[in-house]
Amino acid sequence: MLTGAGCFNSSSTKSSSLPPDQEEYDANAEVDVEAETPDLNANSTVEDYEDVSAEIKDLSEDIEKMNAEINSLNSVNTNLE
Amino acid sequence: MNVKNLLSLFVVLQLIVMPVFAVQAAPKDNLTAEEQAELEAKAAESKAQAQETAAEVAEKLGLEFADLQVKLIAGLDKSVEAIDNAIDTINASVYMSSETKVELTDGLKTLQGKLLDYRRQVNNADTMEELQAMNTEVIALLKANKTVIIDAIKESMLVITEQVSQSVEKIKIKAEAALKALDVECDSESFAEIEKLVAELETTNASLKVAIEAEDVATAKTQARAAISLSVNLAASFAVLVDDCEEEIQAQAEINL
Repeated sequence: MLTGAGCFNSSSTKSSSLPPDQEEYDANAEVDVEAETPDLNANSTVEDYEDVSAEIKDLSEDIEKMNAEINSLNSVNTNLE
Repeated sequence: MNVKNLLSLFVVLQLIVMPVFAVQAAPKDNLTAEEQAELEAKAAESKAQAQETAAEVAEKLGLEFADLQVKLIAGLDKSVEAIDNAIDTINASVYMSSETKVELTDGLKTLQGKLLDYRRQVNNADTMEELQAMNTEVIALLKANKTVIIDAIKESMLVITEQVSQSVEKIKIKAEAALKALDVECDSESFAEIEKLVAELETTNASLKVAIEAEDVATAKTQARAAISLSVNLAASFAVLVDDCEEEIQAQAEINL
């Protein structure tokens, strides 16, 4: 039976907790489906589902931050005099 | 003032002094009063012309050199600053690795180094010819590299939109797995809402992946923006679902203990 946070082996949660200079990124990396799939079953508790909910929220917030970065890049002056 | 300017001014002074001196040194004893007056008038005219030429040459030499030098340095500074800004923005990203940042900023740093080298040369130049030659070289360098910032920014955007795509994929995996596992009789509209949002996220992500593959930055940005509202809505709906079904989930877990 799964209990509490950290049981889902979520790479997203792990990644979000790292400071920026420790972020590892590989543009060609495939999403590890097994690692991202929450281990939920008929025995799972409300806390287990709340953990999944928190992970989805973290990921959606990450997407918002990524979009903010895209906007920053978009505002860069690309004109060389 | 540089050596060339000093030499030029010396030539100009010769233009002023020599005609006057020549006229003054000419024998006057055998000239009539009329010829003498004519000669003096010509001397005055030569002197005036020489002075005018001197002013023109001085202005041309002095101001044009300084003007071009200042303009070249200002232009180079502007380009260096634009590159700096692009490098800083890329390096500020949280969603790119150090290795990716180095790859993306490498070309920018190389061009910046060349521009700074030209700036030093322009600053130390002595002649108009040197400045004009450097001006030509700088223009050619910038023309050859006019898309270097655009390319780096475009590539950075594609790297980040790829991250968006991966995060969307992770959300989809988690939401689908949770819906599958949540086998309880629970009256919540969020079930249908989450299923609808997952389907829309899948469609959006498919379009995003196609745009990234095609390096279509405009479409990738549009799809990434669409993914934001969908994922935010999905996160909210999922929280509501867990809240709505709290009792049922707990009851089911207790039964299966």
